[in-house]
Amino acid sequence: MRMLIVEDEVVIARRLERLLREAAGDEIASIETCPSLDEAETLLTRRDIDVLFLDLNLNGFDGFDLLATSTASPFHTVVVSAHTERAIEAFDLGVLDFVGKPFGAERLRTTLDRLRGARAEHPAASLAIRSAGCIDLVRVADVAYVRAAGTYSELVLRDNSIRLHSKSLDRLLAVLPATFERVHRSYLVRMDEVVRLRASEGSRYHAVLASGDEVPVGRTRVEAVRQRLILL
Amino acid sequence: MQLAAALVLLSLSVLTGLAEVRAHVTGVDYDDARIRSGDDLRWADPDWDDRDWDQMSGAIETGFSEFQEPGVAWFRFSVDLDPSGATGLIASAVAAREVYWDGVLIGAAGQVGTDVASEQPGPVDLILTVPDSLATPGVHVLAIRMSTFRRPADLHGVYLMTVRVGSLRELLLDPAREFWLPFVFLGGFLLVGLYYGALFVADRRRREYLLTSLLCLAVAALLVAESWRWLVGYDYDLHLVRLRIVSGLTVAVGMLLAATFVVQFRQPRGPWVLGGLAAALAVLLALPAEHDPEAYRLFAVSLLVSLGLTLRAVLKRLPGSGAALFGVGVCAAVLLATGDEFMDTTFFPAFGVLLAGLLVSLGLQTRDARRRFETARAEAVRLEAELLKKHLQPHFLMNSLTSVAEWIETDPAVGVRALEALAAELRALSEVSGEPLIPMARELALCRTHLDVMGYRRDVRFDLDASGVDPDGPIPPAVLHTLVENAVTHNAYPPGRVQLTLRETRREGRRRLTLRAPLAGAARETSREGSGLRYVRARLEESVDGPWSVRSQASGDAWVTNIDLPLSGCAC
Repeated sequence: MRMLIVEDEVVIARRLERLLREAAGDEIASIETCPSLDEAETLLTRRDIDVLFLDLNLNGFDGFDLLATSTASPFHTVVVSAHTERAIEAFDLGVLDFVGKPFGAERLRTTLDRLRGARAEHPAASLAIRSAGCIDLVRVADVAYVRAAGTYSELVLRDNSIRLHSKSLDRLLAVLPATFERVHRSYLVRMDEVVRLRASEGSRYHAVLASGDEVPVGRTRVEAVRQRLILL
Repeated sequence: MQLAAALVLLSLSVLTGLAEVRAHVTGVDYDDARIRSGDDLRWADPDWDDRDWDQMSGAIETGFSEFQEPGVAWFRFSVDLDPSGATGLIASAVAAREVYWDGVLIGAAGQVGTDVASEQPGPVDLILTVPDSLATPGVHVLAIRMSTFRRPADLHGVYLMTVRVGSLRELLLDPAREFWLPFVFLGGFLLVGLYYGALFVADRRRREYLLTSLLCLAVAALLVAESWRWLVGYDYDLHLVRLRIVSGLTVAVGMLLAATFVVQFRQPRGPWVLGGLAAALAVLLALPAEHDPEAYRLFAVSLLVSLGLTLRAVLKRLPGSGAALFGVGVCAAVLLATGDEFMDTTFFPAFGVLLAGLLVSLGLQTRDARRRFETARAEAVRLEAELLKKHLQPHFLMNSLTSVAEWIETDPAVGVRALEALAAELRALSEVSGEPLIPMARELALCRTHLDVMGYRRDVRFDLDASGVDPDGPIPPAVLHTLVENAVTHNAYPPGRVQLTLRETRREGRRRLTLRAPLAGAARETSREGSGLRYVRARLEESVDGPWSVRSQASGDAWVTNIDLPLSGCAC
């Protein structure tokens, strides 16, 4: 994992790095530290960063603008903040984790678990999308399914419009609500949109959505999708 | 304004009308009155030929200085009674006297003598009934024998003799008519005097309450002194004593009135105004003058000064000044309208109006002061809460605690010191947060506890050099602390040493505090005018009496903040 820490408090940045290395030293390829997001700009456009540990003074609007910029990026965002009362708002914007200050090694282990694939404690309510130099918010409730597009993802909305998100399918899944499931190597589907499972020749399956769209279902996921449909 | 004008007119007409009350007594025509030094009981005879005596020619109340020397003299005049006749007579004089009506002795005040030893002083006002047999309609001759051996030598211009003849009932009612209205006010003056005395005891800082109390009591005493002659009476040799008491009380009333306005309206040159007034009154007292005009002038000068004081207060828009000016203005207008008789008749009702104005004025001022006090207290509480909140806010506290946690795990000894530094800053803040002003030494100590904490957080060694700064100079709490905090927060100092400097310069009654913090990293200048500077401005506004300013700007490689304060203007 490549990590970037944005923190203007030297000692806290040092602590974060030390504790992360102690907990997952062999998984960490690199940790870079930067005092502010402005200065981290060039680093943020790089696609090889996996996670950004972001210190934000969330006591104001500026903090959330910066946060949206960060969650629109390909990497995961973990907020490290003193303002724990704003945690839900941060999760709503699609952060993977929110670490309140002061923190210890135990808390960072939970963060590392989430980075390894567990889902966020609270799902995102909106997805921030970088488009033409600004940040748009797309309501998660409007997303019907997500399709992989190279290292990016395409959000297919209920009105059939398509928005491109910088995050990979895996990383989006980590912050999306539990109703989203991976039905195929390249597809995430909102299960309550699926009306039936259609089988075609050659044991190929498609999930038929309420809109009439069909999404391929991977062979290994068919049973899971069927179980979900029964339960629903 | 129209209401005020109407009130002035009403007051004037009521007050000046009082001068007419005395018209019920038959006047005596003194035009043919004659006077002669010496003593001869035959001069009582109505048929005595007095054509070679000195003629009074109407000027009975003044002059005749030779008769003001100690000695014996006779005084003769005629009275023409109308068909209603006369039942009473009042002969007032600063002399012992015997009164003869058509040659018949009808009464005496004291005993007329030929020297100090043989004379016995009698009452100033001799009230007699005239026997019906003598008081027939037509012309009668009155002869008054008098001796003045106990007359004080420096009794200037007091009348020689006043005789009033008429209905005894009317004569006796005359003083009651003169004094009933003043006595209505007497109760008011006493009550207000006692009330404000009690208010002063309750709040010793309000010196205007004490002065108002003394003023009311002095006016009450003046009324008692004025009316003593008619209420109680006294022998003629005490007349000067009473007049001196009246003059003294008039001076006291004038001085107290001016002093009340000086204190109430915070007249900056008050001692000079009062000193000047005292000097003017002393000059008036020293000049030889008759009693009544002198008292009039004494009060007129005091009133003029008070008029000036209240006018200035109105021009400065001080609370309650309008009511005070109204009262003084009405009193002055009545004084001008009534002239010399003012002190005898209309003074007390007019002063009642003045006092009413003063009381309204004091009331308005008290209300205003209470409002300001409550606003200031609310503001002080707000600032205190803001200051404490700022340091209980997550951003400061949680970041500090996270750094402390790091030190405890990596270098426990440093960790404990960092924890102590944090505790020291929080303690110092809670100690000073409720104060309006603290000495600079405490403020600097507070700044240094913050720099200690930030040093542990940033791994930077901060120094605050404050050489040459007066450790006793007053400053609102956490003002410099906030500026230091801003500097440290907004600069990304690399590890090492960072020196902040504070300098104090004094010039022309003002002091300037200059804080320099080196600029480093990406100092975010846009966030300079944040809640920190707002706090600084609010604190200065609350605690500094006089003009102040705060200016903050980058200057070379440093961020410089200047605080300008009056040297002595702090509301300590």
